[in-house]
Amino acid sequence: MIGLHSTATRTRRRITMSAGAVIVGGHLLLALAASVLPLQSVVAQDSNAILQGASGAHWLGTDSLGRDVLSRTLHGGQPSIGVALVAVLLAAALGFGLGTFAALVGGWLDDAIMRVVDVLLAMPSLLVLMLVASFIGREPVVLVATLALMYAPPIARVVRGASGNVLTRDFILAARLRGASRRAIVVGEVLPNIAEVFITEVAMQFTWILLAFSSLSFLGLGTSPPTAEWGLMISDARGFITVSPLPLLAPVAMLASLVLGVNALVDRRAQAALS
Amino acid sequence: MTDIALQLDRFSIGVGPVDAAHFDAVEPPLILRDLSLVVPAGTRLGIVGESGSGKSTLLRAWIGAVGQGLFVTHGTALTAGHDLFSLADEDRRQLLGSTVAMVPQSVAMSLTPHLSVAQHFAEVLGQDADRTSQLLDEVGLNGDQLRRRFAHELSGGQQQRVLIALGLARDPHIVLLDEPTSALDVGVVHDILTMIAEAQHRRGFTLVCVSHDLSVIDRVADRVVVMKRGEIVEDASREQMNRRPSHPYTAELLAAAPTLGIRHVGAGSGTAIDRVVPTPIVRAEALSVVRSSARHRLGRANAASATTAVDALTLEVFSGEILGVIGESGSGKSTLLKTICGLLPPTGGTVQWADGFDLATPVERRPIEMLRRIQMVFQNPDDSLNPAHTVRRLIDPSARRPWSPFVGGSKTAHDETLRELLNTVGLAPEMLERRGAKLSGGEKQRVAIARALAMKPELLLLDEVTSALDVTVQAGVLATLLDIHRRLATTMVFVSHDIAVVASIADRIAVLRNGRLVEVDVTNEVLSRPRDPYTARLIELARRTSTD
Repeated sequence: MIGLHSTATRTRRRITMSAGAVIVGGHLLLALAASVLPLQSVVAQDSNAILQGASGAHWLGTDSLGRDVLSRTLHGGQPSIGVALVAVLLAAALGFGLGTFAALVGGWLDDAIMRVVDVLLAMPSLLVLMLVASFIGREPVVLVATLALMYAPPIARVVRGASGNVLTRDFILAARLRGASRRAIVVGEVLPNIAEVFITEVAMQFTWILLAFSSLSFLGLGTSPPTAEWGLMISDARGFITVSPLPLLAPVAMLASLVLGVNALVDRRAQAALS
Repeated sequence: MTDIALQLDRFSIGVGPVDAAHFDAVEPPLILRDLSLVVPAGTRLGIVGESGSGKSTLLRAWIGAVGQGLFVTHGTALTAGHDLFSLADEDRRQLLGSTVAMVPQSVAMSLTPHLSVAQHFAEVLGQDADRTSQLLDEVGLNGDQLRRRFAHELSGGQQQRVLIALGLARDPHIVLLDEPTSALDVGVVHDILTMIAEAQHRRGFTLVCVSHDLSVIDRVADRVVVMKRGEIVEDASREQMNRRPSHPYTAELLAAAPTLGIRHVGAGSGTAIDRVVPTPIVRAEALSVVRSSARHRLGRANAASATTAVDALTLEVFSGEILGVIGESGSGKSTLLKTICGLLPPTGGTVQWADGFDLATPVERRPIEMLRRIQMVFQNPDDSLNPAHTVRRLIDPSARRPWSPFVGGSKTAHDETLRELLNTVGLAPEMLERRGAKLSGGEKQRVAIARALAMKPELLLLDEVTSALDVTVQAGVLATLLDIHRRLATTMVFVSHDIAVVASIADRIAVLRNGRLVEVDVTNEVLSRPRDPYTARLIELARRTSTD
């Protein structure tokens, strides 16, 4: 079937993927570079320059407290991307382990694990995050752990399904006849066959975690002021959108472009067309 | 009605047009190439060819269908005097409904599992219980009893018969059959072919039957067309073709089809049995295996509904022999192999290796040396080769496998071993870096054999290893197996549903039925003096299909 993809479609999808890679790469680079670039202070307030438009001194203007929007926007990616990356890696490890374990053991244990996953999937994650942030704490460790726990179930579900199919195939029997251990079967035989689905799912969950963390900050339960963070910046700026739109638009654009970039990069159809 | 039922005139079907730019630049590859053929009304035509020869595509063209991504490049195909590709949809439906019936290949996918047989007929006939029963009776089924059954409750043979009855429901002048017997056991195949021939004789319709199996065509057709890579290479009467095929490819096909009594060059001819006192390498005593139909992975089973797959079986495999095991599907032959290599736990009796090692030990708990000794090759190489790996990774026991206990030796010496291994199974050394998924069916199965041989096994279990392959490819793989047997003296257990294939390679034959051993003896003895009526019937059927 893959052979039926026309060259035009392939080219189009190659472009989509490259664009995604450039956007995501750019974001990571900017987030890292924000600390070393000669930017103005993130927290320094200038009461004489409040809600100003773009100028030579402030390229993206200033916010309601007179802080430099460019500096805050570039720095604002650090907590979001950092938290989302760590959380998604944890969620991926947890989801992969749980999914392949359930598929391997089968039987009632498989059923039990997957029902727990169902229950977790049914919980509105933002609500759980808000409860945790309110009652347990807002330390990054707590938030990352909660995010990982809340976003591992969909990964576990996908991994369970995909590896279940792979495990019924005869090459698994052949590996067992050669003395392969369970771990070796998962790593050597199953993982290469589900890698594409797995990576795509993990990337998707990364964007959800990113948005969830930003939402939490927006609600005032994630990062605390005066830290620069996109959700928090949007929250601060939304009251002044008629006076100066830049403090709002800049973090929105960053958040949106990062989510779109990740989506473009891992578009499953694009992967299939190119593989 | 015209005297010519079906006709082709320089008919070609090609791939594409994928997109305009691509189409202009390159000549589209043709699936069917300049076919011209006239099928007079009331005659019986057989089309034979290997997979990819375009035979099914041709059959579908006569009902005005081309597959996705394909199109008619030039020429015409006439069905009952009409060019279906130029007819309006409504006219085409009218014509097809009243004159042409096509019975598709995949039986199981052609019936809706949750509809009853009667409901299937109602779609064609309206509610007409009498006519339904009558049609079912005509295809050799008990109509009154079967009408109320659901499609999923029928056996493969019954499903095939129902499909044929559905095809006959509107009294077609032309019946097109696509591989009518490809997934059925020999006994069932024989009955269905007889039924088809009788129905054709009674009704006098034009019959076109497509199959990869010459013996099937032989039973239902008077005229045989041989296709290869989208072209007709031979068009002859059945007698002519069997006596003196004009095209070398046909001769090759005929020669490759295993026939009873003809043994492959170098076949064991009972070496181990006649000359040496036979020493058993595996001994099964009153072995029983109960299999649960519930899911079980990596040895863990939960018993829900259980069937006795192997029932009190006592059998010895002698060192150095090729033991053929035949039986129909469900006879327990695959279960027996999987039990010997530790993939399934026996539920009763004993099974032991020559040195007394208990083969009831699951594969995960067997010592390395024991693992090495017994290797298995599976039926479908598409399923038994990990598509993510290269040939090197597949066959090399030490290739980046963290678990492998078989590491050692220098890299170049090691490479030399792998090339030697590929050579043994008849593959070019360059294959080493190819990805398994990119190989042909025969090449894949050879890689699977190489993978098993890489462990230097003393016992090679072969589970229907040639049944997914075309006849010429099958002949090649069988020859390779015999060559391996001669050179390495590996003991082999060769399981197949096809007695002709087994007879061409095995020193001894064991016949299984419903998990029980029917008989076991030296090949020639079984063939010439079968002791059990079941064996006699299998041989009789094989004889009839091959020499009719």
